[in-house]
Amino acid sequence: MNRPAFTFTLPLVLAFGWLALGCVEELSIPDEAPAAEVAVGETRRIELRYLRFDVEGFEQRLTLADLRALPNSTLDQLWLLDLELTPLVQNALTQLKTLPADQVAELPLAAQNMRTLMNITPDNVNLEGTSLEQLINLSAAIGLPSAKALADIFAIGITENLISIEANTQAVVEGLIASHPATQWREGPIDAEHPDGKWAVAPNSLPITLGDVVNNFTGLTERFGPAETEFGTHPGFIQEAEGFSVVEEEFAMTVKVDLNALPYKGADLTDGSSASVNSTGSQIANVFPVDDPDWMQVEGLVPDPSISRMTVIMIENDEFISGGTAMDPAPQGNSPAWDLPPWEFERVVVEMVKIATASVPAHETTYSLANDTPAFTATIDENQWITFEALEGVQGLEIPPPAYAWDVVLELAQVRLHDGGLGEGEADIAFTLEDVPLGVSADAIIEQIRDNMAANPLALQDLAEALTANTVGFADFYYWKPKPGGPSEAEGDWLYFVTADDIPVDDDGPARAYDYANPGFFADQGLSQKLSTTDEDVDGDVTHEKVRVAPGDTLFIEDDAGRVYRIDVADKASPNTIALDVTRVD
Amino acid sequence: MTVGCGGDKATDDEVGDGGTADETGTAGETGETGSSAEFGVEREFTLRITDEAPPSLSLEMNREEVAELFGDVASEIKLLELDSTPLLTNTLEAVKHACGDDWQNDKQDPVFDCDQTALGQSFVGQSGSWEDSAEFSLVRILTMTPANSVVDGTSLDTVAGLSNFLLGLSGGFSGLLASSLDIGETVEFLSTGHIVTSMRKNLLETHPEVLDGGKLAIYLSDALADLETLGTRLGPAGNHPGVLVPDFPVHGEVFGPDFQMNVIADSNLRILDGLDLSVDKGFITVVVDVTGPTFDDEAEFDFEDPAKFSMTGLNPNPGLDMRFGIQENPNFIPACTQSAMFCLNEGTVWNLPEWELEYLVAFAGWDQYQFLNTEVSYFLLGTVVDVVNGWAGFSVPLGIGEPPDQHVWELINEIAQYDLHYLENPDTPTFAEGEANVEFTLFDIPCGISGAETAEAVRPYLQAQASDIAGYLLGNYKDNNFPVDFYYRRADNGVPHLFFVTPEDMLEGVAYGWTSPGFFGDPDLQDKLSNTVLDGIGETGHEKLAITPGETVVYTADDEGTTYRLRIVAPEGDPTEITIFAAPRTDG
Repeated sequence: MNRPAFTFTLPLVLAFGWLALGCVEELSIPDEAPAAEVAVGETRRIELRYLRFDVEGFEQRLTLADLRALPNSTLDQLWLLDLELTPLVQNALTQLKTLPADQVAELPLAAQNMRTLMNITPDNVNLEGTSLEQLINLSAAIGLPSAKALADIFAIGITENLISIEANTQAVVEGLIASHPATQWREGPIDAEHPDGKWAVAPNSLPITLGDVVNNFTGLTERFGPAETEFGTHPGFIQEAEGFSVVEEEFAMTVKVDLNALPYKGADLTDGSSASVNSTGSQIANVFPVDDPDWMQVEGLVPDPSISRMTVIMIENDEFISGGTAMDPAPQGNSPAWDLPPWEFERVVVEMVKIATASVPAHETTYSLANDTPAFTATIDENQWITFEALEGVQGLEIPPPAYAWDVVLELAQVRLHDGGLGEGEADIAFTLEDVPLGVSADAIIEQIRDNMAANPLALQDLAEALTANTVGFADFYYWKPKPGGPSEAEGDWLYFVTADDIPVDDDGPARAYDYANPGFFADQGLSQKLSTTDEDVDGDVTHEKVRVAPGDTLFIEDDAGRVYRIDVADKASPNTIALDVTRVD
Repeated sequence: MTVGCGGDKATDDEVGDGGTADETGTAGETGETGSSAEFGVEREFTLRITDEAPPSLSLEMNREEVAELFGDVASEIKLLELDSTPLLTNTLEAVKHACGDDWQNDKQDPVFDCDQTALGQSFVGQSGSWEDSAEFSLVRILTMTPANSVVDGTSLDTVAGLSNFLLGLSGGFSGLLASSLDIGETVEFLSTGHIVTSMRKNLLETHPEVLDGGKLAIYLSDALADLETLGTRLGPAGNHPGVLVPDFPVHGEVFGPDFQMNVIADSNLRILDGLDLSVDKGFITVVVDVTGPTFDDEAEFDFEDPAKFSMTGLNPNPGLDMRFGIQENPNFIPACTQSAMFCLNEGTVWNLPEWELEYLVAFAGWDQYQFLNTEVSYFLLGTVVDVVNGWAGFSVPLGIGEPPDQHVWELINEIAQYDLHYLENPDTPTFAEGEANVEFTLFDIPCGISGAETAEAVRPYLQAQASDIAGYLLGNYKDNNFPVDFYYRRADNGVPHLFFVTPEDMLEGVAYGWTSPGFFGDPDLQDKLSNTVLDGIGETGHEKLAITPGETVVYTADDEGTTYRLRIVAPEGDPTEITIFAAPRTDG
C-alpha cells in the first residue's frame, strides 16, 4: 500500500504527550527521505528501542482553548454525565407558573391556559363547562363552598395546587422528555455489554459530552428536536435554547496521571521504516489515580448553571380526548389518553394527575343537609376511582359518572386549555423562558463527571491520545517491554500487533483504515499457525495480538495491504533494543 | 413570545431556592406608621365577591327522592289536616252493611249474613263463626231500628210485651218506639251521623294525635309511608286504648306510582371569601334574605305558586286499610233514672271514659235526641210515653212493669248493652261483661278527599311551614364555615367591605375568641378604622371597613391574639377581587 511520506519531527509536547514534561529536551529526528517499499525477497533490518518515562501524579491542566483545539469528534464522544432534567423542567415550569400578570398577557393563549392549569387550586378553579359544574352549583345552593368540596375530594388545602409542581414536572419529564430518543441512548465505546455502542442514559436525563460543555451546548435544540420513535414522530421538547451559562472562559480541567509517557516504537512493514504508537491507550486502565479524590478537578463552571433563553413546546392531540368510563383496564381505566404518545398534552395530563393523586388516601366525603340527608357524596378509593352521589331529582344536575381522578381532571384540563376560543388542535403549547436555572450546581456536575470518569477511564482514551498526539507513521506492530519490577512471567521482549484503537482519530475520523485481514504473528508463511495471542494478560493488556520473541525466532506477519513478511529476530545490541530482519516473502 | 423571569417573588417550587408559596420577601419589615413593630413574611391571599346568586334549585322528585330529601323531618312537615268525618262515616256505613241490608226492612227478625262481605267474613266468634262474634253484635246494635229492636232483659221488656198485646192493631211496640223517638220504624235508633259525631268527639278527639274537630294531621312521612304510620300514631296512647289496633298494617296510598313533587327554591345562602389569618383562606356562609315575610330564611319557597310547587300523580281516590277497635266497659251500665237534670250531668255513663262503647252510644243518643219532645198516646190508654228534651216518662196501665223515667239515650244504651252480650239465648250471655270488645278490619275505606283536592289542600299548610322547611334542609349552613377572622362582602349599600366576624357568624356553641375585633390604623390596635355603624349602611352588628382602590394598610388581630399587618390591594372600579398581603407581627 502506498503511503504519503511522513515527517518525523516530534516536538517534545508530542513526544511526551499532554504531560508536557519540561524536564526533557526536545528530541529531534532528522528528516529522512521516504524509503522505498520493501520488494519481494528483499530484507531490511529494523532496530527498535524501548523508551520508558514513568511519571506519577503529574497534573495536566486543559483550558477551554486547549479543549476547543481538540477534534470535535473527540469532544463529542467524551460523555461526561447524564444531567438530570427534572430540576431544569421544574424551574422552567415554576417560572411559567409564577409569571407576573403583565408578562402572562404577552404569552400565547395556549401558554396562558397552560399556566392557568398549573395554578389551579380548589379556590380558583373554573369548572364551567365541565361535568362538575352542576354539582358545584348544587353545592353553592346548599351553602357548601365548592372549594372545600374539591379540596376534600383531593385531600389538599383550598389554596393548594390541584396538581403539584412536582407532579407536573415529573409527568413532563417522564412523558415529554424521557420519550425522546436522545434521552434514552447515547453513543459510547463498543464493548461486550454494548456491542452496538449504544449506552443507556440515566432516566429523565440529558447526556452531556465534553463537546456540549466546550461549545456551550450549541446543537442542543437539534439533538432534542423532532425525532422518530416507536410511537411516531416525537416533536421534540426544546424548540430553542441559547445562552447556556455553564462554563466560563476560565474553564479548565486538570487531571493527575500515572503512566509511561513515551510512545512505543514500531515498524511500518511497507517500507521497513520506524514508527511510533501512542502508549496512552494501552495504559488507560491505570493512567488515572482515581482513588485520589483530587485526580480530576474542574474549574470555571458557573456556580449555578442556567439557560438564558429556552422555548419549551408541547403539542396537544387534535381531538378532544375523553376521560375514561370504566375501572378496567386497571389501574388506570380506559381513557383513550393512555394510548396517546407519551409527549402529547392529554397524555401528560393524565400522567401528572395520576402522580399527583397517588398519595390521596381512600376516603369518603359527605355533605349533608340540616336534616342529615346527604346532599353530596364523593368517594375516592385506594385506586383513585371517584364515585359521586348527589340528591336525586335536582333538575339540570347530571351526576358525574364514576371515574378515576385523572379522568375528571383531564376533562377539566382540556376545557380550560381551550379557553378563549381555541379549537381542538389549536392549543399546542410553546413558551419561552429566560434565565432558567439548570437546577444542578457546578459542584454536583463536577462530582458526577469525576465519578463517571473514575468508573470508566477508557472514556478518556480518545481525549488523552488526542492531546498527546504522538503517534507517528503507520506502525504495523511495535516493541514492548514490561515495566521493571513486574511479574517475572512477563519479562522479555514482546512484539504487539496494532489494534484499531492505536490508530489516531481526528475530525475526519481515523488517520487510516484498519485493514488488517490477519492481525497477529504466525509461524508459517501461510499464516495458518498463529504464535501470538490476545488472551495473555501482560501488564493488563488483553486487546493486542502479542508474542514474546528472542534472538533466533522467526515469525510471519501480514500488513494492511496483504503483503506477508518474515521477521527474523537478530541479536540484541542492548537490553532495551531489538533488531529485526524483515523480509518480504509475498 | 418571550417572557422574563417570574419577578422577585420567591416560591418553594423553584429547585435550588428557598421560600414559601404565595409569600413575598418582606420578612423583618417594620410598620409604616412610625412604629417600631416588626412583621414576618407576608402571605398573599385573593378574596373575591361573587354577586351572582346561586341558581335556583329546581327539584322534580318522585316518591323515593322526596323521602331521600326530607328524611326524618318528613314527620315534621304537615301536609294537611284531614277531616275525619268522611272517613268515620264511610267506616260506619261499611260496618252497618257488613252483614247485609235486611235490617233496613220492616222485619222483627231480619236476616243477617256476614258472609256477604269481606268485612263480615272477618268476624270470627268463639265458635269460629261470625254468628257469635262481638263484631256481629255491634252490627246488630248499629242497625237496630224500632222494627227489629229486641228489648229483652231491659227496662222496656215489660213495656214491649204489653204494648204488643194492647197495641197490636196500632203498630205494637215498634210503632211505639218509632213514635217515641220520632223516627221511622225501619230507621236506626242511632243515625250514622250522630254516631260519627260521637266517635269523632269521644274516640278521636280524646286521642293525643287527633286535633280539635277530630282532624287528623297528615304529615309528609305518613303520605310517604302510605299512611302506615297512622297505625302507630293512632294506636294506644296513655290511657287511651287507641283508635286503631296497632298490630294491623294500616295502608292508604296517597302518592300514586307516578307521583312527582316539583319544587323550585331560591337559596338565600351566600358563600363569602374570608381569611383565617393563622391558617389560610377560608369561607363563611351567611343568609341574605331580602324576600320576606321573614328575613332570616335559608331559602325561599313559594308553595302557593303552582309554578314553584306542585304535586302530581296523587291517588285520585285514596282509601284506607285499617283496623279500628272499640272497647266496652267491664260492667253493665244501667240507665240513670233519678232525674233529668241529675242524669244529664251526673249519670253513670258520663263518668265512663269517653272512648268506651257505652259512652259512645249514650253520647250518640244524646246528640241525636237531646231536643226530642214527643208524646205517644193511644185511645183508651192515654199517654203512654211522654218525652221532654229526651227525658222519657212511661205510663203503663196499672203500672205493671212500668219502666222508670229516663233519657232515651240511656234507654238505647241499655238495649245496646243487652244486645251486645246476648246473641242467641236470652238467658245466657254470649259474652260476659267486658269481653265484647270489637275490632273491625276494613279495606279501602275512602278517606274523603280526592287526590286533586289533596294537591291543593297542602299549599297553605306547606307555605306556613316554608321557613321551617328551609331550616330543616339548610339550617346547618354554618357547619362548613371556616373559622375566619373576617370576610369580604358588599354592605347593604353595595360597597365592598371587610366584615370582622361576630358571634352571630359562628357555629352555635363555639366560643368567640377575638378580643379586639375590627381593623386599625396602627400595629398597637389603638386607632380603629372600622366601625359597626356606618353612614348609609343599616347593618350595625359587624366592624366594617370599606375597600377603596389602591393599597390600604391596616392592622388587625386574630383569635389567637396575633396582630397582623394587612396590605390590601384593590383595583380601580368595583373591587370584586382584592389581594391581601398579611404579615404577622413578630416583635411580640
